[in-house]
Amino acid sequence: MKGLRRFLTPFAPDQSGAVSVLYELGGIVVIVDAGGCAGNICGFDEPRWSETRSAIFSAGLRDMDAIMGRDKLLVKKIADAAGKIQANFVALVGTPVPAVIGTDYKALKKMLSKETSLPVVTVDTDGMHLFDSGEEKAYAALLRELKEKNLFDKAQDDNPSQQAAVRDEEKKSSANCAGIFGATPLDLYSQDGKRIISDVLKKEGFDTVIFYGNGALFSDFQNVSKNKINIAVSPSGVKAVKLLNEYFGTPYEVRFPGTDVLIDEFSRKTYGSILKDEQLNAHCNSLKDVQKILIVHSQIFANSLRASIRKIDAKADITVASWFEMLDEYMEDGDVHLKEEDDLIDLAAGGFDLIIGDEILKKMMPEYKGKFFNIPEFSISGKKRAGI
Amino acid sequence: MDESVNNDNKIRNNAASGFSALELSQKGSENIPDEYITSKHLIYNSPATLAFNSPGAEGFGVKRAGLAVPGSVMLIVSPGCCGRNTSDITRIKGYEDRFFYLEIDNTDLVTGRHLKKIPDAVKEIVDFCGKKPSLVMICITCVDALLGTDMERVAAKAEEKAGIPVRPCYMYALTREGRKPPMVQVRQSLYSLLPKQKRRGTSVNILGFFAPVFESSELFLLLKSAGVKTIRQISTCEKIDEFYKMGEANFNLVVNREAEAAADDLQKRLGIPSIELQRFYDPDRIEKQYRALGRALGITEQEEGENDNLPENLGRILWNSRLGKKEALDSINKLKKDFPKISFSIGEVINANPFELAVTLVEHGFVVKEIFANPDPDYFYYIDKLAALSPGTMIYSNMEPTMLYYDIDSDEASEGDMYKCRVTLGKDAAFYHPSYLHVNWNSDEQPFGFDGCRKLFDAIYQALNSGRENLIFKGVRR
Repeated sequence: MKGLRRFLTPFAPDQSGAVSVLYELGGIVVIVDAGGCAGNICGFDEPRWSETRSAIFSAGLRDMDAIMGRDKLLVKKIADAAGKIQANFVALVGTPVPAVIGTDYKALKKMLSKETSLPVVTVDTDGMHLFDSGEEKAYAALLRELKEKNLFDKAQDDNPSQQAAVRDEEKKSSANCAGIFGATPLDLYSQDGKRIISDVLKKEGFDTVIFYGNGALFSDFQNVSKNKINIAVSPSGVKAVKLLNEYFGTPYEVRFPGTDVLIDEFSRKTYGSILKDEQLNAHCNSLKDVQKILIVHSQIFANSLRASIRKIDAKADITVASWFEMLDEYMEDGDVHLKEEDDLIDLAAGGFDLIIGDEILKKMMPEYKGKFFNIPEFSISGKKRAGI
Repeated sequence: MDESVNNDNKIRNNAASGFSALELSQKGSENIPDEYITSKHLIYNSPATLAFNSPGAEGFGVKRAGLAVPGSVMLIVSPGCCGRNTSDITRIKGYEDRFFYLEIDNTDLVTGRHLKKIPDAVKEIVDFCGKKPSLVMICITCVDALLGTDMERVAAKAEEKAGIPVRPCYMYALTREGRKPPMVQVRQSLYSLLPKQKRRGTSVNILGFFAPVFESSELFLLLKSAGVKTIRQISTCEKIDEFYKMGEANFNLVVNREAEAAADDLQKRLGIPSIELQRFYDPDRIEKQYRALGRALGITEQEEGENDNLPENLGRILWNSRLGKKEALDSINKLKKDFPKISFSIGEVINANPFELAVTLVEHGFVVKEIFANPDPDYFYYIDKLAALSPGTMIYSNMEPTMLYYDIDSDEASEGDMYKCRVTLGKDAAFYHPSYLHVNWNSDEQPFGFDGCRKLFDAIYQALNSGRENLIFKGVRR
């Protein structure tokens, strides 16, 4: 039945993606909900929440607020909070409740702009789409607001942050900065992915690598025009890099740097302690033995992984599939945009020798007898652990 | 923790706002400041508020509670976001493979077509389960609250189609502060399953929790003194038939206010009366409540030494409140004797009323530095007592926006400070003071009565004792 899930819990929703992009930017982020969504987003989908404080709020909507459309009350609550909390901007992140009552975000933005001088970002997520859609919307809404308010290239120099100071120092020494979009903790198979991307890009000649939505500061967004290149490492970042190309002419690429070393690192991390060198090398080369591979992961990551595997075996028949955004321009023939659980069950029955994906998928395919490499996909399993 | 505050966001110059017990008492229950009224401000979302914003993430929320009936499964009919964190619950033993989801999209919301799919979906999951479930709970969320969905009717259709009981439960965060919050409704829904049957004078139900009261609680002894032979709790029923027998009870003991509405329903529908008890930690209050309950049940307390010559197989154990009270007081006094200078920070994510607990601690000579909880008008009895005994105790709302500025562990005890021995009670309080000793006291299994009091003070003692070297170093422990 369409929409019925028997094996997997629902995937990370768009509202979680939006918050993931905005989390570290020092804004007042208001999740327009009754509380449950805020709890879900932070308590489950936001791994930074237990370690890093951020001004994330629930609007605390109650039934009569929703039924009566008490936008003025919401604006008052936000204005009160803005009066008590120093922030770089205000963001409203939508949930199913405003979607049902047809909240007019443009009107809310207008009302808020009269009550506060802060930039206002609205993201019309609805909890019914997936996290990458929310990330894409949040990037776009923030960049558009910065442009509209003429805030690009106007980051304050007196930022007290040590982190920012280090970043500024790096920037002074180099105009050779790469901006990464679509690599929030929800996108990456683990935070180790951030290290690998950074290492690879530095080897490629970039001095500074900034992850927008995963370590970048508000001032980094303001200074984004200085980047030499922007790279979308997942579909959620593609719209942002294109927008920045439109704004500043910054060139962009769509790829996940580092998948070459991933294959090797995963193998060594997992088997290094139990296998001797020759066995390990044999394992690393074992991809040569497989003819038909299915990669179930975020499209750009999976595409880059496919390219890396083809470097080992140019003839490998590799299919990429994902429940998340599959951009047509980056799909090969045979790639599959999954919709239902049964889509994967049917696909997995297609005679693959190797399936690469989050191990939680294994329970959907008890009949599958081939190899399975676990590369966690947090947005599916919610498990924060990485490794094969 | 402070080092990890986002340094770019300039959010550091202010302070969290709160009121002292004296200030609150002077304002009175009619003038509770807006800081404590969640409808008056945005709700700050920190790990300390997780239990409020997402009750299912810790302890029992609607999802876990809805599966209290043995052998049941749940179909969550909602936008994907509402079911997202359920995988955390599925990692708890006994909850694996019991959740299913029917995701709603925008078109469903406009047309309501998802409602037509529910009976088929229920049938499909019943067929999918290896063992036929005893019950399917259909959990719906805020969107259906706004759409005014008649889920009772849909559940009846699903029941007809699947051939097993189907009941709705409502995870309506929108109504959490309304007349019937979700955790009240879920209890009503579950106990509505109890069939009318012949009542038995020797059967009693304990209503209120979804995990059992500690077996060691003297509450059970007291009930047995009154001739009760069978004491049922939903969490101890291993099979659906055992759960159905809760309908034979002579009376219900309601130990959590969230079960009042369900108890009222049972009185109206099955004629089972109820008696309400509160959870206290003060031995005097516990004793008074037990004596009142004993009188209501016609129990004569055993006099001191009276039981000494009775055969062990008397069959009817005699209740003695003095023994339990003495043990509880012994635990309190032992803690006080060995660790006289403890200062407590108390949260609301705890198996206690934090205000009652604070008064208990202060009355026994401990210091309560602060309470993280919203003061309900009903709690002013305790707040007034605190104002008299410990006027400077601060009361903060976890949810107030300026709690963003609560200076986590900035108040490390300095040399010469007389209260170096600091303990947090409640998981939320631990968030604010990671360096203190923590007694979360929020287990699923529920403490009650003298036994609960004794267990709590023993747990505090144990926590302090395990940090003994550190405390001796600081010159706190005698």
